[in-house]
Amino acid sequence: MFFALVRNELMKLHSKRQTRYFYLFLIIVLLGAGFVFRFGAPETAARIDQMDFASNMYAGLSLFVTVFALAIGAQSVSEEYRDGTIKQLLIRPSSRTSILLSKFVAVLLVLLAADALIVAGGLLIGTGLFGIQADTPPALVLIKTAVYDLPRMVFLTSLSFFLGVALRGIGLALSVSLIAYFVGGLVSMMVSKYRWSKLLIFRHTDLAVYDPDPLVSGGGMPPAGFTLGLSLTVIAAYIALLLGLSMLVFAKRDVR
Amino acid sequence: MPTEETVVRLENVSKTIGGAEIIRNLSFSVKRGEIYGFLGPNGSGKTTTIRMMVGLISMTKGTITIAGHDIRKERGKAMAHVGAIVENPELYGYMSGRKNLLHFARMSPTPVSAERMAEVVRLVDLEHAIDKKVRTYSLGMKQRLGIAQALLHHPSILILDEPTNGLDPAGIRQLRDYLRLLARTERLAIIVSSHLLSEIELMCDRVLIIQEGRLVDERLVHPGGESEDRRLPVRFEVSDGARAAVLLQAFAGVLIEGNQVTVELGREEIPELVTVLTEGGLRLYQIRTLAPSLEDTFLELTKGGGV
Repeated sequence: MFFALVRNELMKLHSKRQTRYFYLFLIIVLLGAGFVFRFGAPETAARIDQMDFASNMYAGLSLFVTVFALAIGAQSVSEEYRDGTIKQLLIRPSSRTSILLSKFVAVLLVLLAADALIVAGGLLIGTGLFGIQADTPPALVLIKTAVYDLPRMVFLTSLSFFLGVALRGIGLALSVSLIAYFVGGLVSMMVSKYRWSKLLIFRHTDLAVYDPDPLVSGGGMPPAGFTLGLSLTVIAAYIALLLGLSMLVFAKRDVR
Repeated sequence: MPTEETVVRLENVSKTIGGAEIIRNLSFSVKRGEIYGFLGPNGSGKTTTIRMMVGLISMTKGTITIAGHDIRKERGKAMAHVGAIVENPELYGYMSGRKNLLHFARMSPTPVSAERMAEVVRLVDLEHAIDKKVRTYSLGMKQRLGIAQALLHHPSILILDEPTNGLDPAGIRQLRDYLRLLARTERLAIIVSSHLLSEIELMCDRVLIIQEGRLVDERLVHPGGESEDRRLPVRFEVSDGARAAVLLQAFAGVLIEGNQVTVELGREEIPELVTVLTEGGLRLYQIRTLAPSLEDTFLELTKGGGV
């Protein structure tokens, strides 16, 4: 039953032009950038390898993927309210909680698919156009980087999702979560000297620093007393809190 | 299946919003195979009641059972029996009619077969447009697709909130015919809410009149057949009232005002009386039963007790 709900949400997401165009956009940028470097700038192309290309593409495109996930997260519930379809959705036997959860899961699946697309696409196109050299790091380095980024993306998506449920509008939900995305790191730097900041999610979202491989961690070190387990727990707690609040608001509300 | 099976029962249902009691101790029940008109002026609580029945709005007090399941305790089981359109037929415009149906079919706890899907599409006459995006549909087509999604899972009750909103006369006519057909063929109970009396009269077997959140009357819309022995005042317009008074001495309850003669009669007595009058040499211009029309009742009920 829950699986059917998720399939419904995925069908709706993929019936919209925006989702199809977004995948298309990612593919075009990957291919376009590859061909421009390879044939438009041969000197640069001679210097770079598969990993240079793929990790640069990832760095740039993961920003778009995050913003897209925030947008569809904020949209998922608020759009059903705007179109009135929420009524058709809620007069079914499925509980409101499972409907809400199916929406969240569907948004995460799209996020994962888009993320996998830019990693795999970057690596494939990079290999095809620039090749692998003797000193090219293994593809695992990029995959690890992408995986370390995921918990933060999921957290931001759940924030945007919650705001979409609570405010029933896309505008504010998306802008607040975007601001959180961009200033989160800055805020955590400013308050890092206080002990309570250990509970602040943005001090935990950079998970790559825990990796022993300097190619992945970028030479960064975790703050004193921070462990991967602690960071993951804090992120999970924030996500659970936001989802719990979303369910509470969604299940209680009269639909008029 | 018994014909008199009760599908929906409301018992002392109340709803308070911000201190105001919108629905007050509302109780009624709905049986299979009948079309119920849910009639009331705007703001009388029709939509609120319907939304409580389908679980969109919580109740403050009372119980609603659908097919024997309390909607608060066994919401899933109760809702499995409901097909509804709440307000406009809101569907996903960016998907085809078929995908919209698939979406709602997947939400049914009992699987909906491909044959059922095709059958419903045929029933609402949308075969030619089912693969087009719903965005391109006319309002009447959307309405029909709305009915199709509500019927997919063989519900026991179909609830339509103001279904004729925005439909043209031809569309209303078509909807009416569908509903009649459905009540007969699928043995559905149908509740149709409206603030338009004329619509209810044309569409429904029974009417529930609601005002200020209270049920004020329940009656048959066309009290033919079963009430043949009921005595109703019948008014005759004759050529000579005085002469009629003489001729009708044998009858009880005769009232004569000028050339208007009013008599309490059973249905079978009407031709009898006509014979007496015409054989007595009177000319008859008009015969009319003075049964209070639904309209009279509705206006009387909803104007009288107002605040």
